Amino acid sequence: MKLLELKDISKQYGTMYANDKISLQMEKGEIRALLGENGAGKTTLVKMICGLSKPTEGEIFWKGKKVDFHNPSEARKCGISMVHQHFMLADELTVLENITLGISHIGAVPDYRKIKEKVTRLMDSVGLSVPLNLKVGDLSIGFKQRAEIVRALYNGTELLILDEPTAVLTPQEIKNLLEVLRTLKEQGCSIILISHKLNEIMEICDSVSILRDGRLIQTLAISSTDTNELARLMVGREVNMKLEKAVAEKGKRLLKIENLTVKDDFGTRKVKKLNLEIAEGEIVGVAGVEGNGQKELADCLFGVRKPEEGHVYFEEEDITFYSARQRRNIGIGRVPEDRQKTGLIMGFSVNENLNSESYMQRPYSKGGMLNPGKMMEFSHEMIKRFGIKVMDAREAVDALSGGNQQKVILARELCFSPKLLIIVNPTRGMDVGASEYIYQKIFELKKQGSAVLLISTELDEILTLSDRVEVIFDGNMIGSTEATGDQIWEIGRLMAGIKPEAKE
Amino acid sequence: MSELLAQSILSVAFWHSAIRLSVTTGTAALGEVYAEKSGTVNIGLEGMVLTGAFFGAVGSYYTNSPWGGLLLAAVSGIVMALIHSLVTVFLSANQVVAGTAINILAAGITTFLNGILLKHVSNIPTFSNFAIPGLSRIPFVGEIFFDQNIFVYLLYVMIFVTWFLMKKTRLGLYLRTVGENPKAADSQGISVIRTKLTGMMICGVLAAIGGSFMPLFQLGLFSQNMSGGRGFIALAVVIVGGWKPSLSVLTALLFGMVEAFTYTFQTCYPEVPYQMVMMLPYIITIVVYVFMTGKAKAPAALAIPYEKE
Repeated sequence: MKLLELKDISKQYGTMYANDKISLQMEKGEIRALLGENGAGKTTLVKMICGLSKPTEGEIFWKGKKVDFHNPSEARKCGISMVHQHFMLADELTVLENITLGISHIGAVPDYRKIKEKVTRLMDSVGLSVPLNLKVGDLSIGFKQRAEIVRALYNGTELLILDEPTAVLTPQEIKNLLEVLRTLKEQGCSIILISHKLNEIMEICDSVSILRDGRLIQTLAISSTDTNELARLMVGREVNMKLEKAVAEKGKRLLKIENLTVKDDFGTRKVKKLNLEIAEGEIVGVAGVEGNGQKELADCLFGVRKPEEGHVYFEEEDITFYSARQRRNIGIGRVPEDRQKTGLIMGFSVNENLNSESYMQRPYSKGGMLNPGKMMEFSHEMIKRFGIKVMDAREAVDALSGGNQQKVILARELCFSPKLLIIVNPTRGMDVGASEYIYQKIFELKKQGSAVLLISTELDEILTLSDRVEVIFDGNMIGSTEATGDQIWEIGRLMAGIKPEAKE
Repeated sequence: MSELLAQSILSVAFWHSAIRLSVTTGTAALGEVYAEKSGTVNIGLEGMVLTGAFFGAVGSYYTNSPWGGLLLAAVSGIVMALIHSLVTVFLSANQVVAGTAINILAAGITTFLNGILLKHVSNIPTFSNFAIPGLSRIPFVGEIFFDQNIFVYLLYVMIFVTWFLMKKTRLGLYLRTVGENPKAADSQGISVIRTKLTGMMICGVLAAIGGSFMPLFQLGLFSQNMSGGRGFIALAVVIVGGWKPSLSVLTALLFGMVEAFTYTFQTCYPEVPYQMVMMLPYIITIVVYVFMTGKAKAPAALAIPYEKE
């Protein structure tokens, strides 16, 4: 008897099929990967399995019986739990209270002491530990995820679904997580792991189902496949797994950051006496776990946050207190972390967004009057040059896919050939094809002799692009390494705050 | 003259009335804690206080018992809460607009029905003082706190009940989660709609009971717009009190004191125009709101309509 069986499951949103007649089966104790690009329908599919949404068509069988979950607690009672990609935790509540939310049968007055005992036993048995009395908001991302996993396991789970669990973790945390998953498997728990990291899938899974455009392409045993085949099936064409790094002459020093200290919105020092230098023709990658000062550093370099102390020099000129516009005028391009909040104005059209930096220059405006004809001309040129997929430049930018939105920002920032490009998490939430394009654009810029400061939480991305990796931890550059694959453990250690030992 | 003022302020009578004058605001503020903890800003609190006052009077007059008034007030609070929830929770309407509509509706309905149901009514049955045996004998403190009426005692009990319910019970856990991160609640199979509705109904009941205090103890009759902004002050009180039941009621007491002071001041200094003095509670509201609002964070999902994907 199969543990889980899906028969012709479809999910329709409006006229679009997010899932189209998907059928698959799972055995007890199996670790199954769901592989696919963003928008392939992986999350949609598992949401139906765990009762968060209902299929438009098709049937789900659990242990041979047809099931029809109306909400997640019904699925949980059957033994199916899910750990979401965006954590489903309330920050102001303690870890224990958050775990209690996921318990099926609690009385009107929950017995927290008993729950705590059971949770502690559970954590011991799978090798996890989370401080139960702390507020979730005070935990690191890794601990938040563990809290989610503990909650998912509390009700004697037989099928655990994890949606992109490793996207936000350091290599060490990933190793721990995979360890926990192995223990769970030994205890008879089945797992569905959504991921697009091929190496992880090869390492831990027994089988893999590949989704593309809402359809199930194939289900394979891990032993009979390799990463090249998986990548090809996922994207639907041959992909260049290893991008060749662009070569450029390293020139004179372009940017120098000296003893920079920056506070966040709540007055906490997030960047502490940080130093960094970048030369022309160099790509420097700043790696680090989210929340170690990257946002404040980027804001400060963008000119939207004033530093408490320290200096920033650009071509040996002190630009510490330059405004955002002044920075652009001297040749600094900026691609912020959050496309939708700070990168673009979502209600505005593609045309307006493309012109949102250049509108004050001639010929796009004169004497305070905009010149719509020239602006539109410029937009059409950019749309063509950067291959932005849009029907009409007057379309609102929020109708575009994430990849195309990023292209709008890139077009706006690259059109004036900046000497320095500061770019934060450039491919977050984007698929392999779109990422590849952005990487090529960054390399093109480097070949022109410009410098790039890449701040990213994706290690793969940093290793692909950078010449040098600087690791940020607790507001400081804790160490630097070469950007080669064999440095990944060293970088991981630095990301966790372990300083490099003095080499003998 | 200033000696007289000092004497008055140190008297039992002054503090006694300070507490009585904070009952409506304090009870409504406790109600608002339930609404806001579950993510709803109930601007309509003022309207619910007014509705409670009116139906408290109606109930008492027609059943010839203040208990009947209390019961009808509570029911009217639930009805108002349901109207508010219908548009904000089910239809995801803007909470500020819905609340404002509730306030206008309450003012209209009570004025209109007042002319029909309470025509020529000059007084209604009211509750009387009830000294708690023993405790009320304690000099000064006992006389102030325990020689009071049922509304005051109910307020004492509700402070503790609210604290316990929020911190220790399943309902409190669900209310807080829905106010912080409704998606998290939904992902665990907790009904966001049911939880918000519960928070709102408790709010409606408490606001209405707070309002019914005015006709059922203080004045013995209903008068047009008698809530006089107490519901609005309660909204500020909750924020100053950091969404904590005890601190919210204490802040309400501060306003009661100021109001009591304005009456005392008027008797001591009749030459000062009374309109000036009557402004004091409202000025204090603004000053306290600006300077005393602490670091406590509002529930993260406050005033954001929740729509399931």
